[in-house]
Amino acid sequence: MHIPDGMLSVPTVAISGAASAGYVALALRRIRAGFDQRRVVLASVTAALVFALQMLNFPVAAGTSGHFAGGAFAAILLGPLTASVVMTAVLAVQAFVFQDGGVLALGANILNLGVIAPLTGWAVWRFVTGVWAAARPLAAFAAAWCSVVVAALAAGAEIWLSGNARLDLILGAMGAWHAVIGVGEGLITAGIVGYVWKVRPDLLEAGPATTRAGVAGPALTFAALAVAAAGLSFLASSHPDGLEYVYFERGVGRAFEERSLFESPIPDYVFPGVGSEALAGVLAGLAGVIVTGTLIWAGVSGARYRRKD
Amino acid sequence: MTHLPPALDVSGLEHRYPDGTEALAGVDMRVDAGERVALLGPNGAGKSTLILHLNGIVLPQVGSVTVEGRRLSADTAGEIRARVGLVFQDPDDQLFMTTVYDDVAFGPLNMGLSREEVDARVRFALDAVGLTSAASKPGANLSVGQRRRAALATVIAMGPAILVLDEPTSNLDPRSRREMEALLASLEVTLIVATHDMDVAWRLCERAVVLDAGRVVADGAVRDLLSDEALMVGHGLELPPAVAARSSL
Amino acid sequence: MALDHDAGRHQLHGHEHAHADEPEHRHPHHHDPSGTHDHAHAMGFERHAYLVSPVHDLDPRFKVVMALTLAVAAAGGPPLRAAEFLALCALLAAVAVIAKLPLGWALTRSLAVLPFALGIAAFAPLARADALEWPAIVRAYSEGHPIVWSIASKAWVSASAALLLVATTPLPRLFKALASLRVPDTLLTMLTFLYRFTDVFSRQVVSMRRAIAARAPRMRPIALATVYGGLAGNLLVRAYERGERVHAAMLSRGYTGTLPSPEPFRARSSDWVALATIVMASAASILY
Repeated sequence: MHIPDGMLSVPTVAISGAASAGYVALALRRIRAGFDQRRVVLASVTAALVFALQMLNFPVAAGTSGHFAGGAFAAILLGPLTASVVMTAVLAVQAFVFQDGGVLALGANILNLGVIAPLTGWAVWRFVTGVWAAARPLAAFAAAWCSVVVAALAAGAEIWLSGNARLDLILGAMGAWHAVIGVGEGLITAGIVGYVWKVRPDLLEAGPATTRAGVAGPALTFAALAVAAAGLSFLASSHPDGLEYVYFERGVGRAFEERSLFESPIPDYVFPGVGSEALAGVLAGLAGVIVTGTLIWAGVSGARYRRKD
Repeated sequence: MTHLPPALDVSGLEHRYPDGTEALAGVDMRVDAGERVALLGPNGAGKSTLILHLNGIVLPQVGSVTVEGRRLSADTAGEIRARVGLVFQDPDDQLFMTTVYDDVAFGPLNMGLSREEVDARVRFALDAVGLTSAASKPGANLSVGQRRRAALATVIAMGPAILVLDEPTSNLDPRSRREMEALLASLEVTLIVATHDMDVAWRLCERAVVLDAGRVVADGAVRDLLSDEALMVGHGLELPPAVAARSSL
Repeated sequence: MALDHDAGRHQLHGHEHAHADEPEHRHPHHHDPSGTHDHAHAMGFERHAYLVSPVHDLDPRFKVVMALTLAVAAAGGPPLRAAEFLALCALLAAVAVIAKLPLGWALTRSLAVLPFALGIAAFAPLARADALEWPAIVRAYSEGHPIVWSIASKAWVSASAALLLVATTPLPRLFKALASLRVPDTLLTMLTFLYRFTDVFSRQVVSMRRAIAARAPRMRPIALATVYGGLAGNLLVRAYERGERVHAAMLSRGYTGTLPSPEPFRARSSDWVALATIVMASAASILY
């Protein structure tokens, strides 16, 4: 999701750069005003940890893998403002030292992964734990998943704004892909929160206090946006031989030779859109969830029945 | 020397952690300038907590810590930290800057010394621990033994009168351990060494203080305490191998 | 003595020497009785950062500005034409050669940006397709394929500029340059710790991952991510405790909330000449 240089137009670079620079400057000023040097030290150590944890990559699909991003994790632990500064440091090192993400695109990458992701994750976390305090791992999962998907959509939107992608394709591809990656991010974040809650609950309570009402709006908006976008992108790409697949598998490697385009075994049907097959896939999935749920319920109540005997 | 205040005077020191655990239950300890004291005791005896009090990282809740006649408080913590150097057990905790040079210069720079003075101190400290050639290396690239010595240099550069070391020889191979021991023996400062390494305590220190369950349970000459099998074993310690070998003959 | 930081550093090198089989290397070697030198740096990219060359010798502040200028010129302008691209390539190659960097290594490192850049760039021409039907798509690609080239070439030039900066500047020096370029102290503390402790934590990640692999060699992705979660939580708690100890160590050495300000750099004429060269080349590439 780290946008390389060349992908974004100059106005997009300028606007996203100014937005993230302003936000991070504000965050730095707030941290300075709060002046808790112990927190700065702990946040700095966390930055190193986020960086080290990015070594944890997990297989996603078709031989590719995603890795831990850490925006929601940092926000849950440190609050969104400090998390933004932590992610800024991480992303700057990635851009300059590892050429992961462009130098000019750094502003946009900070905006997506360092501002939007922590804000989304934090809002969802605060909201879910506010409604149901015991559901910390669930809240962490939701926060991390939403943060990844929303950040990916933001990246897609920036590429589209730069005139380098069709909106439907880029959002579909980014959304679908990161809806899968988000599961890994969510599970890791949930694992961290679950573990920390058992061992050092004070770390989770150390974050800045906020009212629940203040985050409900953004939390619901981000979450709804993430879920809706991910759902739509799955509809658009649930086809195993969807357009992206065609281009990745046949197009990129062969430089779009005419031959491969015209001898394509895939007939010309209308694309994208909710074809009957895609709809069937969604319905089958829903049915699967219901059937599985019913089976579990039956199993559990059956076990209880026996124990009563 | 008798007219001077003791280098360190701990009296009636108690400490309780936020969760209610009592770490120190009234510690009394007096160390004169130039003494080398081994601080012994099983894990959880309160050694680390006591050490953190000695230069004001943790301030006394009950009781007092007095360094060279100045009583430790929030106001005096700054100057006392310059007099009492603390060397942590894990050198990675102490080497947090990007190069060894910067780590050693960190303390002197914070003392507000001039660049020339800082540089002279860094050179002196690195020379003392034999790491002159590693100055521009990142701390991460040193061996464990070198990191230990670099951590010691960061404190030596501040010119402390009292050096407090937490397990300076743990995790070291025998050669690095000997080097560290010789290095510590060569320093002309008051030394307080918390250690499980009875050999080092035996050879390096003339006096031992045994701590258990937050109290001083024995205080005396190393030769006496460390050959007292009942005392040592009773407090989760052991006789130094040299003593054990002799007594089994 | 005069306390130019570099001067101080050089005089501290009691053991500096050149190897017969490799270019002059400024990295001080510790006394190693086995005779082998440990060149394993915390992060692999630093392998060539301590070489001695005119590029390594430049003021790091100037190098930061030069790298940014090149990236802006390449990635911020209109699509690079073949001549511009070749000129920039020649410039980058020249810097790499002057810096004594192995060209194969630099090329491999910089090309690593391409797979991802091309992955997205491959779709870019579709932005011009008015409908997603084969004839329109074919038309979009036949007209719009230069955009793929444009994105890939910009991504590569910009990445190469960043690579040359980092490959010829030890990060500690780079951070000092950032400090004198007024990067806020909080951010610098984070960068410093990132540099210092990533390796400490990475070693823990590696050893814990090895422990997992030893007990459960094959795991499904979901189970793996869950186990990683526990691992990461464990690391976090340990990292926090380390942070507390590091803070105590900083306090012991008089930390008051800001890192000591670095040695001021002194620009030399060679720095200005190098900067002027890069700025002129960049301007020419944009204006041409």
